[in-house]
Amino acid sequence: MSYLSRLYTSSDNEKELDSYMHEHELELLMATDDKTSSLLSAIALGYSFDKISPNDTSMLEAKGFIKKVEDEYILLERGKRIVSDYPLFGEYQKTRKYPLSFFPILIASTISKELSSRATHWTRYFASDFFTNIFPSRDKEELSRAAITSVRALLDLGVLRDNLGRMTIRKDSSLSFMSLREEDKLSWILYPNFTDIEREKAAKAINLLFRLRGIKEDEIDIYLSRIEAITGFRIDNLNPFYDFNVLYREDGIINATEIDYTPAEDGILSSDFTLSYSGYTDSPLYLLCQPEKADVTVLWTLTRKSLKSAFSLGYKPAEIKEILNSISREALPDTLDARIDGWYESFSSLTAERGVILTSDSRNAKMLDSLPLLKIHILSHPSENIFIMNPSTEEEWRRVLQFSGFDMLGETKGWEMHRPEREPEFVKYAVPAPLKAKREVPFSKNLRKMLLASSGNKLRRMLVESGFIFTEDAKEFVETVEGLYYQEKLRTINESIIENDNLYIETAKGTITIDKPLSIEKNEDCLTLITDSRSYNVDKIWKVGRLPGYIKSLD
Amino acid sequence: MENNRPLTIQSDRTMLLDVHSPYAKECREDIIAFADLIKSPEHIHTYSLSNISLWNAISSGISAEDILNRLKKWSRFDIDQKILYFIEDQARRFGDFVLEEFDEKNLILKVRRKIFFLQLEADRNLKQYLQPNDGESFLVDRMHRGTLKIALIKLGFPVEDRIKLSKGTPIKINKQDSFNSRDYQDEAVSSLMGKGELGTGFGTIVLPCGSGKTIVGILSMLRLKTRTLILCPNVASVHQWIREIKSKTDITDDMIGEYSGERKEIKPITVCTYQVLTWRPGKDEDYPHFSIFRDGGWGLIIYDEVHMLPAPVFRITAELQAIHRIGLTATLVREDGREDEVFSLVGPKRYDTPWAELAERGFIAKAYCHEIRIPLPEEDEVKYALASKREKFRIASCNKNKIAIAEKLIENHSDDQILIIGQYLEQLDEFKKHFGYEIITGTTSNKKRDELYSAFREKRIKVLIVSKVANFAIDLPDASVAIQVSGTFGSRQEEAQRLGRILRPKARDSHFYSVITEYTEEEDFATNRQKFLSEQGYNYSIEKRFV
Repeated sequence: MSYLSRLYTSSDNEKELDSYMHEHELELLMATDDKTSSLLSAIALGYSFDKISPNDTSMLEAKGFIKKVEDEYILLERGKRIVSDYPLFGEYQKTRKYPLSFFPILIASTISKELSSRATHWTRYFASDFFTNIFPSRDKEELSRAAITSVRALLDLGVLRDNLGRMTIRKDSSLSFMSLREEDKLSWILYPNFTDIEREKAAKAINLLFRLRGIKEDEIDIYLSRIEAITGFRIDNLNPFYDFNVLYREDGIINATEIDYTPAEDGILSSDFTLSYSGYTDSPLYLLCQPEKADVTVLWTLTRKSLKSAFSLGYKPAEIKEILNSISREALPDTLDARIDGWYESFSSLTAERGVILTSDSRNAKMLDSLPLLKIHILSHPSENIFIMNPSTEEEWRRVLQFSGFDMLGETKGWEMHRPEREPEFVKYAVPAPLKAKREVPFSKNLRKMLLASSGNKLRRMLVESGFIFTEDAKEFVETVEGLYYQEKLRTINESIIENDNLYIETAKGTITIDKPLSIEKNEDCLTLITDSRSYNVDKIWKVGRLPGYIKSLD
Repeated sequence: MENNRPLTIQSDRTMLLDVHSPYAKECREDIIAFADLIKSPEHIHTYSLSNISLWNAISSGISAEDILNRLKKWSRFDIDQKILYFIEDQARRFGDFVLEEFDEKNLILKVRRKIFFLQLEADRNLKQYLQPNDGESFLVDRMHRGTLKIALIKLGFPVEDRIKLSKGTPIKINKQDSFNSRDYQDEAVSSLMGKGELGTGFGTIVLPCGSGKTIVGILSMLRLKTRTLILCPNVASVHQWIREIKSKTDITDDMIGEYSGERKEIKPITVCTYQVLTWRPGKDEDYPHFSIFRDGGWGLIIYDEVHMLPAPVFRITAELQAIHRIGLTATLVREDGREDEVFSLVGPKRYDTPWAELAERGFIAKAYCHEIRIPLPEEDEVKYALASKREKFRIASCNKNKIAIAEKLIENHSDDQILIIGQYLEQLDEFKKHFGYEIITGTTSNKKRDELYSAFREKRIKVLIVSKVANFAIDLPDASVAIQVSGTFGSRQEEAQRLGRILRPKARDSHFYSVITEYTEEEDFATNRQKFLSEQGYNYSIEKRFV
């Protein structure tokens, strides 16, 4: 008898069981069968109660999931937990597998094909056989709709972006997105304009949608109402869920697919540059390979072009080989090993970097060369009179020059440099999150529109435009994301003190001020920011930002 | 066996065979009859189910039920319903169209359902081949038998061809006592000939270079004992075939003839070149030598290096559906994408075996492939930068530093017989000037070629420079090193054929060097060239050399 079974059968082990459940929640859930969860779900929702046999109720009682109170069964804490994490609607039956490789393949297709960011171009690609043939068992039209919806949302969320007319990817944001559970990914894709709370509800509802089994088409509304009762979110339109293969119809019966996170253990890398496996992997293969096929087995190919994308995202050959080795049960073939090195050599033999050419006469050149604050902005100093400056910090090095007496420096000549849009907040702070960890999210264009519409204040509008303000919520406590936000906040305050900049300060209560920061002092229990006019508890500051010198006030 | 089942069947009808499974061999033997081998790298071999592969299997007597049982026996996962349906559906279709004897001039095509009859009658492209007979059948001119079958297959209609192959004029041919064939060569012949039943006696055999494809041809001749026409890509191969036939059988000089630019002999066994057959006096005139096909009383035609079959021979082959036919090749990769036509006209792939398997058993040499990268000489850099794409490839290919690398490689392989293979004649001339080795190109006379081949075989010369004329069927049993200094852009088939020059089994391992110029167009093309061999499980080591 297993440890868990012993605990279940003994009523003296309440505390031990609770503690065990707490520590081993996942194992417990895995040990719960579909029948148990189906019965508990029915009891929780008050449906089909009369259909539960006395044997079943005894079994549930013995396991400590339910208790009889005045002729009615109620769920105990551990029963509720099962229902909340593992409900099942309908009768259990064998179902198809959910295509976990959909999002990785979508992202890989977008970047390895170097698709044009013109919507007419990429939508045509995702509607074509080139893409749909990758998933031979899927309905082409549904698949194509799912892909187009996803790419639109991923562009909006900042995971994909337009770079000089081509679709490229943000590595950090894609890693963060891919670390989400499937229901979270779908809720971001299908409901990008929701608030965090709404989206969380939607994700829960999608999770429950995955638990539908053998439902007659004309009874689906009943089940959607149950899902709404549990999550507070009503799914009205099921079509996208057919497109994404969460649900499928067969002979008038609706089933959900099953998400199977069983890790791939049979990965094989061959000397013809293909990698195949069955099962699930969270390796970022989508950033390294070109997808070939997703069926019982998922098949990728390493190509010169896919590796070029990977190198552009900052992957080095050693990292790539490590990722490949981690999924393959066979050693990396020599050809592939050497080829990756060779391609990297070709890749790194020619690089392109944007710069602003700063020229001066010989006397000034010597002075510029001696300015310590300027050094970090110089990308290259090819000759005595020529400096190639970092274009992304132009405002900063211009300020340094101004303070150093070079106040006659005119406008930069030539075509306006392509400026990448400001990184969404979620990219800056996101770290590869464990599945259930709290996560920041990408900034949505539509949300930005809403924020702009609701703000009459010029400064606030400017900050919304720049991506600095990305939510209407002013929270009571300052949020920290793995500690990074807090550090970022302190870094910004310290930089503005050093650079003598004005500081945008938004408190947890939602008040906004502009102030000149003077110092940060450490007290017994908190850090205090001293400004020209008052002091602030740093923990209570929701947002800060260094402002350009010409912004003096809120008007 | 539950967890060791070696086969994964995908919805797109590809099947992945895990070759490390203890049941891999057994499974392969079961599926090869109805699936085509697509690629065979070192760990996973890919097979494909197609309507043609299924129809061929069914026509040779395997039932749909048998196919399904074999798949269920070996499949690791549940098989998609679509696959099961596909197999049953294709099996049902077989027999909808039956071709039978009618009279001396015509055959009769019987159609099982009225709707098909109407469909064929209304098809504009088919009108020229079909003469409506009685509302359920058509008469078909014997000459159009092959062409019609291809046209119907393209429409998704398999034809059950119930016309027996002609036996041809019998000849006396027996094997020499000293000649013993290998098991895979016997298997190849058996899978093609079957037991002589309908639906057998024609097809394509795919075997690696150096593994004895000629022997498969000879075994077929021994089995059928009929007048045989053998078509080859060049005169060197013609001579090779004649030599092999004479050494393995009791055929005497008066029984075997050469039909080439040099000689025009028609004998019970005639070996000729594609070139002489497709010669014609003017662009719009007939091919005068085609009469050889019709008037020879042949019972067997062998197409050597069938992937090189020229277009006019495609056409005439369509008329020869009543004769036993064998296509032999190592690489059925046609850069023009006409592989399907080869299968349709000559016959389906009946036998294919992974190269690595034969290397492991010692039937072909173990070969190591190396890609050697060298820089472009400084003085060529500007010229390269300004050149057109095609010209860039030529400049990179003819990198003069390749001579120094070849010199070093020749020095390292002092005990080997070495071939230097290239594409550009001026480059090969440079090599000849530098080293003083003999060279064979398209303009070298056949007599001179034979002399040089003999000298090379007898090790009187150690290094031979060859242009693309040596890509096919030259018999160089002792070459163990090939240095490829340039090639035809990204041709996968050429790379495989060139490797094939050193695959004949021998006491030592073989080495294939491909010398390329780094950071140039040649690098990309080299990667593409290596694709076929990579899919056969060959690994290229990449070495950088400084000159």
